[in-house]
This record gives sequence, C-alpha cells and structure tokens, in this order.
Amino acid sequence: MRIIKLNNQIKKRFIFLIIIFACFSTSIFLIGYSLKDQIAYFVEPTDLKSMDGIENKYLRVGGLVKTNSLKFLDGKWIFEVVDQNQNSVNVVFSKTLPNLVEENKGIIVEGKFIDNIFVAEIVLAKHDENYMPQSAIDKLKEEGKWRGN
Amino acid sequence: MTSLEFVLICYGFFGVVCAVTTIIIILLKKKVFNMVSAHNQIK
Amino acid sequence: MFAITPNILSNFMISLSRYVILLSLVLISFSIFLIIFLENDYYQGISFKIMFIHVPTAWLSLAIFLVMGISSIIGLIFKSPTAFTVARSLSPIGLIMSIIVLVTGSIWGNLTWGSYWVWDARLTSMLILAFIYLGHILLLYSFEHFQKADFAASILAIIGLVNLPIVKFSVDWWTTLHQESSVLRMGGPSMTNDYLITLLVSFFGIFMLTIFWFSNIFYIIVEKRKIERSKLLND
Repeated sequence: MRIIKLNNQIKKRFIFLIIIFACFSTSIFLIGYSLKDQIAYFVEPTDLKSMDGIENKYLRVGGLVKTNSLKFLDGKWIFEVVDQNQNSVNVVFSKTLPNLVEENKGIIVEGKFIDNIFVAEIVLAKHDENYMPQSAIDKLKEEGKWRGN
Repeated sequence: MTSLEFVLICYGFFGVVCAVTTIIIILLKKKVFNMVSAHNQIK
Repeated sequence: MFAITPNILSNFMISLSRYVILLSLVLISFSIFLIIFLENDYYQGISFKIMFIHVPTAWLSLAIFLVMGISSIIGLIFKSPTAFTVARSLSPIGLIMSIIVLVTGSIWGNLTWGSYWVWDARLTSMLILAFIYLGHILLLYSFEHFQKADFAASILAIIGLVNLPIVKFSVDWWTTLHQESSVLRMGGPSMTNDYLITLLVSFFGIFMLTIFWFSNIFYIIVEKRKIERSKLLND
C-alpha cells in the first residue's frame, strides 16, 4: 500500500516537471522562431535582393571576399562580398582591416548602402571551423585533393 | 601586442584561475577535515 | 541513486581524488608539451592554439549543466539528497568553466575576428548560461534551510536545460560570427588528427581536474552538514 502511494507521488512530481519543462521550452521556441530574423547576425547578399528599403538602413552583410577584388585605393579598402549563389555587394571601408581578412575568406561588414555601394563602418573577419597545418595542405595539394585557394 | 602575447595571456589566465581554485578547494577541504577530527575527539 | 547516500558517494570520490589529480596533472602537462610543438594553423597562425583551452572548457560547461539538470530532475522526483548535493557542488565549477570560455573566447575573437565581443547567438546564449550558473549559486545560498534552496535551485537548473541546445546548435540555426562546431558535428571532425589528439588530451586533463574539484566540494558540503547536524543534536 505504501509503495503504491509513493509511486503516485513520484508520478505526480514527474508530470509536474514535464509540464514546467514543456511550457518553458515552447515559450523559448516561440520567442526564437518569431525573432529569427533579429537573432541572425548577418544577411547574405542573396537575401538583400528580396529585402526592400535597404538604402540608408544599418545592416550586416556576410560572405566571402571575392577573389581578385580586394584593393587599396585613395586610402580606402574596396572589395566585393560574395556568397554561394554568386551574388555580390561592393564594399568601401576606410579604416584598417583585421589581420585575417583575405581573399576567398569569410568576412562580415557592418554599415549602410549609399548609392548602391556598401559603406562599411566595422569589418569583422569570419574564420571557418577547419583547422590544418600548412604541411597538411601541401600534402593535399600534392595529391590533388585540396579544394581551397 | 603580438598574437603570441595574447595566447600567453590566455594560457596564463587559465592557469591562474585553475591554480587558485584548486588551492582554495584544498585549503577548505583541510579545514573541514580538521573540524571533523576535532569534533570526533570531543565525542 | 536511491541506495547511494551522500556519505557513500563522498567517501568513494575522495578515495579516488588523489589519483584523479595525479592523472589530471600528467595529462595537462602532456598536452602543454604537445601544444608547444604543434604546427600553427595555416590561416589563423598561433592564435588558434587558444582552442585547446576554449573548446574543452566549453564542452565541460555544457556537460556540467546537463549533469546538473539531470540530477536536479532526479532529486525533485525521487527526493534524493545525493542528487541535490551533486547539483549543488557542480554549479561553482560550471561558473568557473563558463567564465574561462568567455574570457579565452573574447581574446581569440580579438585576434581573429577583430572584436572582443559581438552579440551573436552563440556568444549571447553562452553569456546567458554563465548567468544561469551564477543565479543557481545565488539561489542556493539565499535560503536558510538547504532543502528549500535545493528545491528552488533545481527548478532553475531544469528551466536552464532549455538553454543547452540553444548554445550547442545556435551556430547551425542562425547565422553567427562564431564558427561552426569542429569536432561534434555531422561528417566527422574538421581538423587534422594531431590537432584532434591534442584537443582530446587537454580535454581529459581539464575533465579530470573538474572531477577533482567536484569530489572535494562534495566532501566539504557533506561533512559540514554532518557537523551541523550533530551540533544540533547535542544542543
């Protein structure tokens, strides 16, 4: 008799906890789902095509620095940010770049579109999750398996 | 500062935090251990 | 979990703690040796070596919260004092780990991204995790009776479990400045074997250190309670 009573209590507490957990995770899920555009840290150049009123709006655009587009002209850095769908954005930046900004590497630019040119105020380098020593890359290049630049 | 210095700061921070925590925990444990043995003696 | 009293677990852990700290010191010094002679990353240079602290402590801060949440659930359902004490002794360790993650991560971010802190999903959810740890500790020590404190804090730990998948998968669900997972991901690790082995050695070193901390904190809590109880009985 006592054991049955204990089991009932345990069941009650278990259901109570499941309800707490379910309520909380649903509310967090709903918050995350409805704010998903705000939580996203940057947009890609492809996303910009479907957005309207982007002129003079403070934005973050992320992608790769297009190969052979990074130039230093009149004290300003000029480059193109390109994504996987080959859509690109022309960027102007007048401060010093972070060390890791290179062609064909990830970048995030923060600023505004002025006359269809993105005037960046902050530039952040975005590195990916691959770590490799130079010797491993040389070996891959010898075998013809290297797919990077 | 160079990258190497930043990396060393990182490792130094980690080392100091771990060492201080370990020492504090060992000291507290010794204190409690002494309290327990003093308590047992009174009994 | 029902037959294991706090006393048994405390004695068991403390009898092992000597070997655990020895193993931890051996593994950590071996990993330091490995890290010094490791070749730099082709792109990030020497700054990627921060990874060997950042990643193990990040895994541990998540794993500790998972254990804390599960033992809070067990404690609440079965009224198990052992489970509550496990959760109680884990939260300071988790707080230290998450502070190390945030500090090393922001130094790494300054070297690679060019900014100490940004408000992207991964960094923000990790900061929230650190604050939940802090809140858990504050709740534990803001009640007069430890049973009440355990009850309140375990509710917080269970609610905080919702944050764990957000921290882990934030880099997949939203666009972030933080890179994606390198080891625990679909398609296997995205680093060469020498890096991976070094990472695992340093992870197990730090893991053993946390086990040592945990067993000592657990011992301290259990013995202090015993002394208080016998003092009350004597009065």
